[in-house]
Amino acid sequence: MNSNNKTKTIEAFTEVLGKLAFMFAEPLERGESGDTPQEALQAEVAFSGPLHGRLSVAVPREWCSELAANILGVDEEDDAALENLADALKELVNVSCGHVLTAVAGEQFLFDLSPPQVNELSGDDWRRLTADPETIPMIIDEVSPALLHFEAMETK
Amino acid sequence: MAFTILIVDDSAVVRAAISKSLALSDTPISEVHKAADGKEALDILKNTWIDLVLTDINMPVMDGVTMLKKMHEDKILSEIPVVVVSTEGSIERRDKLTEMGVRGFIRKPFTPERLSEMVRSVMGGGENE
Repeated sequence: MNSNNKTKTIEAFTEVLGKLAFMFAEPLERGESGDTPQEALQAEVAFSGPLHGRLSVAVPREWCSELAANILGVDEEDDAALENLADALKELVNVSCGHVLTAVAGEQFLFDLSPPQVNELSGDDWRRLTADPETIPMIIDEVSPALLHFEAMETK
Repeated sequence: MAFTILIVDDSAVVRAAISKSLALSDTPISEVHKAADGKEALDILKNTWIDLVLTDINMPVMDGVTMLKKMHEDKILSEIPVVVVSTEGSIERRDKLTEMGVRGFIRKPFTPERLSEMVRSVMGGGENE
């Protein structure tokens, strides 16, 4: 990913996270990876249009209840938060993808986004994703690690 | 006058967030109905009086655009105002939806105030973005 797209991806994601869930995220330096969670969830959205590719967000599983709670305005222990962990993460990646694409490509282009998918990651999966040079390691509220991964190629 | 609103979004979190925002706003709400896709929404619309539809676009089973087309094929459903609540940022998409009669757009993430303002604006008459 070129540095311009990387910057736009980070800015779009942090803006969406701030407005959607009132949380602050910032990128880590290469070499800083944060803690490796034992259990993590990764949500991914694929897109097509003048660019095609995907955006994914991976986070510790237990952080998702905080995300859901913040979006819904309830306590983390509330059933509504606990029952919607994956859904909250899917919504975060879905909204983030829309904003990343606008930032990277502009408002004049039309993109189709696939329904977001969520899968579970092990500690080894997390480490592999961290080692991927296209992955952007982030830290949320100075506590929770997150891994952003954005791939985009021009459609011929 | 209190409104009956239909929220259409495949995300349970978004349906709950919109519902809560409406409940906290000063918009007079009579009932809130929810659907996870366009097909479910049409089933509700055929059996329930709805004053306003708040809908996402990208949904499985039946997306928002297809749902809008189906609504326009029905004389009664075509009169119901629709506001799109979506991640869409494309001008082309918004223009197409406006041509289809969409009365307003709210881009996610939205604030409760923005949602409330849009509902008041649309139900009070006139288009808004």
